[in-house]
Amino acid sequence: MSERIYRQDGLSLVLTRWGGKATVTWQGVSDSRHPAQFLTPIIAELGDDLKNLEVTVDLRQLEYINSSTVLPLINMIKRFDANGKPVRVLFLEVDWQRPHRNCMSAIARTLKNVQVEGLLPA
Amino acid sequence: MDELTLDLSVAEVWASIRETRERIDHLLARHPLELRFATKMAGSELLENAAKYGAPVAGAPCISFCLTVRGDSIELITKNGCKDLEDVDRLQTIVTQISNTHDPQTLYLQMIAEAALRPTSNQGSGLGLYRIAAEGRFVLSCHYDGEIVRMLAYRSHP
Repeated sequence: MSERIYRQDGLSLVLTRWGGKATVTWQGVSDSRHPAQFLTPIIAELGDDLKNLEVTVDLRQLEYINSSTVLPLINMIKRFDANGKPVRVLFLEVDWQRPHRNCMSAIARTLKNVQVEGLLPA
Repeated sequence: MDELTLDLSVAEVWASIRETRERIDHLLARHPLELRFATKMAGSELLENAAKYGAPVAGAPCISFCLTVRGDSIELITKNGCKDLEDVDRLQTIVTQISNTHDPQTLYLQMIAEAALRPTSNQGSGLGLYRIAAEGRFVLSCHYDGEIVRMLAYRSHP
């Protein structure tokens, strides 16, 4: 198992790999003015690095994202989908994450390999 | 319930947005979590817009932000200067589009889908206002006069 962390301001992306699987866990707050400047290179890097792995994007530890973060987040999911391996996207079943989950579910219907799940808080 | 207000005059906007969310959270501590989050999000997105598209003018040298919580409603107002009439037109077009829809959620999804197809540009995603209406369930209105943009987000609550 290996772990890599990308961090900027209040946002961390934690990459965990084991066997044929990987999880990208988003933690904290993404409210910078240009989140794409931080996220786009990471999306490109992970898209290539994880191309042969089943990927889970875990958003349950996100506390807040601004609207400028919505597109980079979608781009990450679409980039993983393009690899042709199963992609799970995990949301927390709480009020503030539900609209994002519904949005991602609608987008996932246009993608081939993405499954969106809402999970109850532990 | 007594009226609660949060009045801010903000010079360094970007550095203040996170703190403003915390202040809103504190002010609405006795309100339901969904309402608190919606109000924090709406205030944050309004301030971000004001920071992105605003500019100091004589009547508005910095951005002002006012949150008023009454027994049955919440009102957020931002005021900022703006000399770029194209930005103002774009803002008013979006607000009108939101006002004219009966389904802000579907409109927000459509806008996300359209934005996802556009090439990356330096312009903002433009999604914040749609999000305020869809996710926050606020009604938006916009007024421009004397180089000052006044944005109002209003929501009733039980």
